[in-house]
Amino acid sequence: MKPPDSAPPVLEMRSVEAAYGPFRALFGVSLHVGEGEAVGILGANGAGKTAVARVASGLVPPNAGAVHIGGVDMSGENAYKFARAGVAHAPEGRSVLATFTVRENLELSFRRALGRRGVKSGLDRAFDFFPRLGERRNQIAGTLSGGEQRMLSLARVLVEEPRLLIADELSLGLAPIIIDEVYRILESIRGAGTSLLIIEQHVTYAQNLCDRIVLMDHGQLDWVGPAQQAGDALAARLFSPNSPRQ
Amino acid sequence: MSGLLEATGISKSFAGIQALQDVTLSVDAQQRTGLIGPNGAGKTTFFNCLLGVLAPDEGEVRFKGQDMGGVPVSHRARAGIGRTFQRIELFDETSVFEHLFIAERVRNGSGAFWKDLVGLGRPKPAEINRCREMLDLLGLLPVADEPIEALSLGQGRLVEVGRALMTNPELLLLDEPSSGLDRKETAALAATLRAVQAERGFAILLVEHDIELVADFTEHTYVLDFGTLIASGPTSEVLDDPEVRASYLGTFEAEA
Amino acid sequence: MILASVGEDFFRAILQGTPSGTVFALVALGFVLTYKTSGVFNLAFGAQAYISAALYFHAVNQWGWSTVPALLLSVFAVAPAIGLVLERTMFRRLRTASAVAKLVVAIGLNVALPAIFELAVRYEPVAGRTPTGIVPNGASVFYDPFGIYPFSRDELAQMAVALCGALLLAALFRFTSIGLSMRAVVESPRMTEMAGIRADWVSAFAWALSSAFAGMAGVLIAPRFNTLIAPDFFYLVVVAIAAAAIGRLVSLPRALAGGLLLGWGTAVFNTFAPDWAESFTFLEPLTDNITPAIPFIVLFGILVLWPAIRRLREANDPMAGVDPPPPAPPDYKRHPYLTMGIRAFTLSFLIILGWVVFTQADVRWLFLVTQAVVLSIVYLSITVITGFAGQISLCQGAFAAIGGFTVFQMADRWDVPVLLAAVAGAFVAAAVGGLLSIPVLRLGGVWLALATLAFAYFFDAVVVKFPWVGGGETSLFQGTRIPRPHLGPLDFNDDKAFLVLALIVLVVVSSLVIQLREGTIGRTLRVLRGSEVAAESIGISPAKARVAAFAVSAFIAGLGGAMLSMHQENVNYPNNFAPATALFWLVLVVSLSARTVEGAIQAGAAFSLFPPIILNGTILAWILRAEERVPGIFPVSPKWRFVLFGLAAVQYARHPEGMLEFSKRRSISRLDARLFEKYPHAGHAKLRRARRGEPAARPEAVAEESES
Repeated sequence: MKPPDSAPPVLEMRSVEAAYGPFRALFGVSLHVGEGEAVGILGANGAGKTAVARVASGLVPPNAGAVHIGGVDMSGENAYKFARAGVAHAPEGRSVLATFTVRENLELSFRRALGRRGVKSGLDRAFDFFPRLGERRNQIAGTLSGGEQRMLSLARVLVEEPRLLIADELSLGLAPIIIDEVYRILESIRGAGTSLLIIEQHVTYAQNLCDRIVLMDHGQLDWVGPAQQAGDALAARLFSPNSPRQ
Repeated sequence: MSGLLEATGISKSFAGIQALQDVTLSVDAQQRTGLIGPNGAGKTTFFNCLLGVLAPDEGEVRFKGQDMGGVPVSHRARAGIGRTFQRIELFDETSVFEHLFIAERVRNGSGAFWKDLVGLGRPKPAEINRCREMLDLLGLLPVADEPIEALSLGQGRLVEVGRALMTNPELLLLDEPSSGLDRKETAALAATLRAVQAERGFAILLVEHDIELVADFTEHTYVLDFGTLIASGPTSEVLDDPEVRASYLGTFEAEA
Repeated sequence: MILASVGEDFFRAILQGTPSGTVFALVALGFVLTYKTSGVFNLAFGAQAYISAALYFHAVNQWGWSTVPALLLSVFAVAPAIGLVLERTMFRRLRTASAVAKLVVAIGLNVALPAIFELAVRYEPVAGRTPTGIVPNGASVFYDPFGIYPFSRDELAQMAVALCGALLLAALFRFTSIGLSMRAVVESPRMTEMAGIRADWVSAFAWALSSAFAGMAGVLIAPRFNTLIAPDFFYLVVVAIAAAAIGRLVSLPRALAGGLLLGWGTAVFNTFAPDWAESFTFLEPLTDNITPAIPFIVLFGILVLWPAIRRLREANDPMAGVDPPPPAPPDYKRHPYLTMGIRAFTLSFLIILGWVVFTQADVRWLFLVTQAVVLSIVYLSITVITGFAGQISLCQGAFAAIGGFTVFQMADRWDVPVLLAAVAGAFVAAAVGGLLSIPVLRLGGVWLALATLAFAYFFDAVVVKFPWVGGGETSLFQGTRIPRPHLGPLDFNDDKAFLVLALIVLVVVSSLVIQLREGTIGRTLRVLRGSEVAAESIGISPAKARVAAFAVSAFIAGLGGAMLSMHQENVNYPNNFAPATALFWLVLVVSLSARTVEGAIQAGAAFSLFPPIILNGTILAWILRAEERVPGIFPVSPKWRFVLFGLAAVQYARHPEGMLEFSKRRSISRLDARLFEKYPHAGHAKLRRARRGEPAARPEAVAEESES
C-alpha cells in the first residue's frame, strides 16, 4: 500500500546468499518489508521460500549480503537476537516442541515476549483465537493432529503481535474455516502495526491480504509486484507456451 | 481384468484427522500412472500404505492378486515393488556400483553366510555385468566407481532408480522424483525413465505435484485432494477436467 | 503369628533397603537431570561424581582442609566448572548429533575424566581407606526411629538431600522460566532461540547445575565405599539408569521412587529368598547370586519389554533441517600406485618389526607384543559390530570372557585340548551373542548400548559366580588356570611359538573379517548403516543381517578371549574382561578406527605397547641414544592413555570413522592430490565439485521444503 519512506524498513535483505551446508538455497536475494506492510512469497517447492524466511529470522546466517532489522545490521547474529528485535517466525509444518504441553509451548515464548504478567492474558487470547487449543491446553503437543499443531505454531506469533511476523506455509494443513479465521486475525494485527512476511500457496488468500507479492524460482526472485497483478504473472508462468508440455 | 496393483478402499486417519478416505487405485502392468494432488492431499500417506510403511485402517492392497496386508516392507520389495525416495536415500561411503550391486545380490539370493567366509561373497562377473548394463542404461557408467557423495542430486536420483530396478520390480513407485531438480534436470530424468521403461517394461506409479511432469510422462492419472480421489482417467482428460483445473488454480502448485 | 512375623520381616527389609535405595535414587535423579537438560545419556555422570568425592576426600585428608571449604571447592566450584567446560567444548556442538554419538562421547569422557583428575591433583586410590563424609561422625552415629533398624547420620543426610533435591528440581522444572527453557533447548535449540531465549546460556546453566548435583551425590555417597575408585561410581550409574528407567527417564519424582523401589526390592528379596531356597534347594545358586543383578535384570527387562520408553525421546527437532549435517569424511579413493606404495611400505615395516621382535625381544617385550596381537583379535569383534554394523555393544568383555571360561572349564573338567576348547568357546560365545541379539536388536542405538551394558553387568554379577563358569570357590584360591596348548610336536609353552600361533589366528580372523566386509554380509551391514529405509526398499531385512553381525562379533570376541586366557595361562576375569575394561576397549577402537582391520590391530598395540614404549620414554631414549638424556617428565603415568584415548573418542561425533582413520585419509588424499594432480581419477571428483560449488547428492536439506 505505502512504499517505505524515510523510516527504515522492518526487514531488509540485501543480495543475500545462503546455503544449508553444501546445498545452496539463495542466490542474491534482495527484499524488503516496510513498516506495516504485508508481503507474500509464492513459489514452487525448492524455490527458496523457506530459506528466505529462515534468513529473515536469523535461523540461517547469510553467506554473503546482509540482513537488516529495523535498519540495524543483524547479519550473522543468533536467532534469539532477531526474536528480541521483534521478529516472530512460525516455521512450516509441525514446528512445535513435541514433548511440551500446548500451554508450555506458548508459555516458553510468552514469558519473554509478553512478560510474566502477560502470560495469562496471552494464553487467553491464544485460546480465544483457537478454542480447540484451549480444550487441549494440557495435552502433549506431539499428540495433537497436524492442523492443531499448525494452530499452536501460529497462535504463538499471532498473540505476540511482533514487529515482523513471518509465517511459512501459512495455511498448509488447516481447514478452510480456520484459514479464514487466521487471515482475519492477521488483518487485525496488521492494523495494529505488525508487518507481515508470509509464504502461501493459495494465491487468492495471499492477494487479499498482501500489498506486494514476490514470486520465487530456484533461489532467486522471479517477479515482484503489486498483489493484484500477481495472479496474471503466475498464470503466465504456469501456462507459458514454452513449457515442455505436450 | 485385474491390475498389477489394486488398492481398494484405503482409509487412514491420524489422531482424528482423516488423511485418506476410501481411495481406490489400480495400476496395470507396464502402464505409467500418475498420482497428483496439492501438498497435504495425502499422497505420501497413500504411498506409505502401498509400501507397508503404514498399515491402512481400512481397505486392502493387492499386488499380483495377492493380499499384501501385514507383509513387511522388505518382503513387498522382494515381491516386486521397487521405490525411490522424495528425500533422497543413498548409502553413505559407498560407491555407485555398490548401490546397484547389493540390490542385485539381494535379488539373486546367492548371498549365503558360508560363501562370505570362504571368499565367495565378492561380486561375480555375471552380477557385475548386470549392474554395468543398468548403469549404462541410466548413463551412470562413467561415475560407476565414484563415491556417492561425489554425485549431483540428479545423478543421485538416477542411482536410486537403478538400485530399485536391480531388484527387477514389476512396479516402480517414484516418490516426487522432480523435487530438488530444476526443469532441465527433471526433463532429462523423465527421458531416461521413459527409455529404461521401454526397455525393461515395468509399471510406474508416479507420485508428483509437478503437473508438467505428470502430463508429460503418464498415461493414466489419479487426483487426490483432502484425502479423497477427486478424479481419475487418462491423463489428458483428467488434466482438462474443469474440476481438477479449478482445484489447481485455487492453489499454487505447479513449477513456476 | 506367622503373618505378624512376615510383616515385621517385610518392614525391616524395607528399612534395610532404604539407604541403598536412596543412593540409587540420588544418582538416578542426577542422571535424569542431565538427560532432561542436555539430552545426553551421560555415562560420565559417575566420573563426575567420583571427581567431587575424591577431591573432597583429598582436600580434607591430604591438604587438611575443613569440611565447608572442601565442600565448596569440590561440589560448588569444581563440579559446575567441569560441567561448563564440557558444555562449551563438546556438547554445545553436539546438540544436533545423534544420540549414539553423544553416548560414545560420554563413554570417552567416562574414561578420560577420572584419569585427568587423578593426574591433576596426584590422587591415588588407596585400597581400604574409607572416605570421610561431610556429616560429622556420619558413619558412627545411628538413629533407630522404629526400633527395628538403625540409620546412620550419613544415610539420613542422603535421604534428606534426595528428597529435597527431587522436590526442588521438580519445582524448578514446573514453575520457573529457566526450567522450561532447559527442557526446550534439549528438544530444539533453534525453536528456543526463536522464542528469544539464549540457548547457549541455558544449556551452560543446565550443565553447571547437573554437574553440581553429580558432585553433591558423589560426596554424599562416598562413605559407602571401602575404597574410592572410579569404576564403582560407574557401576552405580548403571544401577541408577535402571532406577531412572522405572521413571521413564524424564520424571524426577519417579526416578526417586525407582531408586527406592530397587533398594527395597533387593532387600525384600534378600530377606525372603533364603527361605524359599530352603524349600527348593535347586534355587540356591540362583538366590545367592541374583541380588546384585536385580537392577540389571530390571534395566534389561524395561528396555526390551517396554517399547514406550524407547519412543520417548525420539520426538524429532522440527528445525533439524536448519543446521547442516556434519561434513562427510575425506575421500577414500586414491590412485592405485599410491595404494601399492602404501602397502609395500606397511609390509616392509611389519617385516622389520617382526624381525626385531623375534631376535631382540626379551620375555617382557615378547609378553607385551603377544598381548597386543591377542587383543587385536578381540578388537576385531568391535570392528564387526561397531565398525560394520554401526551398533554400540558394551558387552564384548562378557563375550570374550565366555571364550576364556569355556577353555578353562573344558580343559579343567574333561581335559579337552585347549585349542579345540578355544574354538568351542568361540562357538558358545557366538550362540550367546546371537541369542542376546534377538531381543535387543529391535532397540537400536542408545537402547541397544544400554541393554548390552546391562547384560555385561549381569554377567559380571551373576554368571561369573556360577561354579560351572568362573569355577566357584576353588578358583578363588587357585585361579582359573589354563594350560598352554600343544599341537603334536609343537609346544606353545615357548613364548615365541605362542606368538606365532597368535599371529596365525590374527591373520586368519583378519582375513575372515575382510571377507565378510567384501561379501554379502559386510555390504548389507554397510548399506543398513547408510540408510535403513532404503535398504528395506530393495528387500533387505535388517534383523537377519544384524543377528549375524552380533553372532560373528561374539565369536571373534570369544576366540580372542580364549587366546588371551591361554596367553596369560589364566582367565583372570576381573583384570581382563570386567565391564569397565571392555568400555575402554570400545573407546580405544572407536578413537583409532572402528571400520578397518588396521584399526583393531593399532588398538591392540595401543593397549599393551603404548604405555611401555611411549609413556615410559623408551622410544625417546632410543631416539636420543641415551637414557640419561630423556627429560625428567618420563616415565609418564600410564593413566595418560585413558586421557588421550578417552578424549580422542570424544571426536566420534564428528569423525565416526575414527581419529586415526580420519587423519590417515586426509593425509593420504592430500598426498594423492599432490602426486597425481596431473592424472585425475575418480577420487578427485568430489574435490572438483566442491570447488564449483555444486550441490551434492547427499545433503539432508535438499528436500526440506517439500511435504514430508
